[in-house]
Amino acid sequence: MEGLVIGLDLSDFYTQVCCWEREKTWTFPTILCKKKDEDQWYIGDEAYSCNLAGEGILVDKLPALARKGEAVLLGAKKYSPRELLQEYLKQVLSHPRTAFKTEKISQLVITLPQPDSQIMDCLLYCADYLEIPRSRFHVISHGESFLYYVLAQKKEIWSGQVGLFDLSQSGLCYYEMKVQRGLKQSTVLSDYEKIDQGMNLDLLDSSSGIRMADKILCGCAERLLAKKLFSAIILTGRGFEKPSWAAEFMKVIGRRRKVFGETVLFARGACVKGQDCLEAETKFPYVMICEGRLKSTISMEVIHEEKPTQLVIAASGDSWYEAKSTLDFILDNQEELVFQIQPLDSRKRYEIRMPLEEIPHRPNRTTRIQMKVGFLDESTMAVMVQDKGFGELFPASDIVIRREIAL
Amino acid sequence: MSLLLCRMEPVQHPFEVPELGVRLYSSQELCYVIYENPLLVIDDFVDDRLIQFVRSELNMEFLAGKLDNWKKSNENPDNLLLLILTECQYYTSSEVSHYRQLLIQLRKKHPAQLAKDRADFFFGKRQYGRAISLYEKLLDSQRDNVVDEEFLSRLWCCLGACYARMFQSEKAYHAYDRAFFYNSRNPEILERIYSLKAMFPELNLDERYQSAIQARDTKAWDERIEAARKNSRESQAVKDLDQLFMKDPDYRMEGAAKLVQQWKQEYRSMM
Repeated sequence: MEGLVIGLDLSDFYTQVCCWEREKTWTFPTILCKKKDEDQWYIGDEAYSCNLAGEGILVDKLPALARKGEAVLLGAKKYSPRELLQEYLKQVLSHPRTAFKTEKISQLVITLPQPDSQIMDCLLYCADYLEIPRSRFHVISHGESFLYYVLAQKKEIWSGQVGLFDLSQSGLCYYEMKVQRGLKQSTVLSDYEKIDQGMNLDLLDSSSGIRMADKILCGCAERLLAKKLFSAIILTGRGFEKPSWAAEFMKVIGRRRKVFGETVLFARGACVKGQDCLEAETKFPYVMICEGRLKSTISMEVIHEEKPTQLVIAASGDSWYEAKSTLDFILDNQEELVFQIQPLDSRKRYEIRMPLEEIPHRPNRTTRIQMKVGFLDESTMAVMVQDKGFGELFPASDIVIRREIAL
Repeated sequence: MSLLLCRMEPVQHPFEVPELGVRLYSSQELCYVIYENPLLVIDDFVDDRLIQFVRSELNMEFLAGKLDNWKKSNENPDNLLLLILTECQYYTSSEVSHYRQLLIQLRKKHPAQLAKDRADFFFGKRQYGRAISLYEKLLDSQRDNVVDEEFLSRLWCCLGACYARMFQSEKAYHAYDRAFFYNSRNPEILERIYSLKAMFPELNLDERYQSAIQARDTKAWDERIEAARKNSRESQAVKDLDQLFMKDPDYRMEGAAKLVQQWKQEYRSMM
């Protein structure tokens, strides 16, 4: 039997899991409970029960802990956020493994609302702990999950723009997807906006709150959807499990547009990505621009085979976390590195210069440098240049130049 | 102004160039050595060891295969060097053309003059043992309009300098004696013998040199010897040594061990 392709939506408040071509899905609050004086861990309702019975200590908002890097004291022992996430994911994954009677995981794609390097690193260590090879483990943003989810639907759904309202305990978020055709390669863009107007699920506990929430949503929809051609609007999150409470809002978004509801949208989108990774050729040959993906192409002019060539360091649409490169150059009367930044809008092309003054002076073309490029987030590039000298002819110094470049 | 993109060459076993006392870790370093040291590489530089390095360490199978074939078919060795420079793309086409012209110019030289230039090159690189063997080989050259008495005198002079630098005073004296034999009109040879005596006072000079030296005004020679001594006393190497001995004992011993190791290596390559 083939292994499972799992999509896992990991938010501060809830975790949703689904598997490729399987109906069953799971939703857990993102909490972990450790039984006192025992190395026994629980998640979901069991965690609450254990805690209410006074037998265990509860930890919540595990992703937030990982982002802050805060350790937690459970009983006598301190646990790092990585250890807690490892245990949590192990418990979560045991559910599909048990349900579908297989231990094997072919792909695991975790989707997060705002992936940053801190939590990405943490999750990669978790994958090692869970013995899932890194080639079969991916972390993507909610925005990217949204794109995968929509692109996996019939084309008529995304012939125009697609809007997504996500109402959960974290608040209200709006995502918008559009396809730019006619470029060298079609580009799919996802914009994201966190709507901070006091909108949260607590409002829905009273009838006056419901009216106010409906009104807020109507205002947002009027503003966000105005003057744009949408082919579909999708609703997700706990707040839209039964959207009948938002009657006015439903009327606004339903004007000449199709409206869909999907409660486990991000996990399903992650699952689509996981399955696509197994294909010999991607079914989604698009440049995807969204959270977690670079919005600019970074290149440098280099000499290759005696000709000036534009060398792409990272391209727009690359995952910033995975866009890492190591290149060796020889300086030919060159005292700086010049990065050409090409945002999606081609009119805004610009250059960033990185001086190499600290590198010792040697005869021309006898200085080799190693340049390592990585990204701290989608708009910050980290460059490290190391002087490698020229073998034993001109020994290397220990000089390393580091710079963070805002894109 | 530009950046040359380097191939990834994960060299595990570098190519040793004992004449320069260096090991090469990349195709760029190999090209640099070829380009900057034509007299070193002009004869038999491209051998099986180098071809093996190109093949297995630089991972340039195509180039290695071509070098191998050309070598087996007795292709002009200069073309092998030019092929390396062209394929590695460290130098531009015009630089490679310039190098081709340089090789042509060198090949146009009289074989004895080219061999002497090579020996002088090794002398310049402080490879005295290698230089001596080349100078000595040249002494047996067929006499002609280039290999004349003056040429032989210069060869012996060079041999004398090599031996002197290796602190072999008797051999150096013998060499200068032979140089003087072939060209007694050259006052420089007498000065060298005088300097040798100043450097090695225990050396017994022949009567005729003693009288020849006494008959001359040696003030300028003395000044040059004194200037050379002053230079060496004030050289950076001596300053570094003084500084080393001012450090605390642990660092001093560590530094001294390194220095002795370096001297040993230098002496080995001299021989």
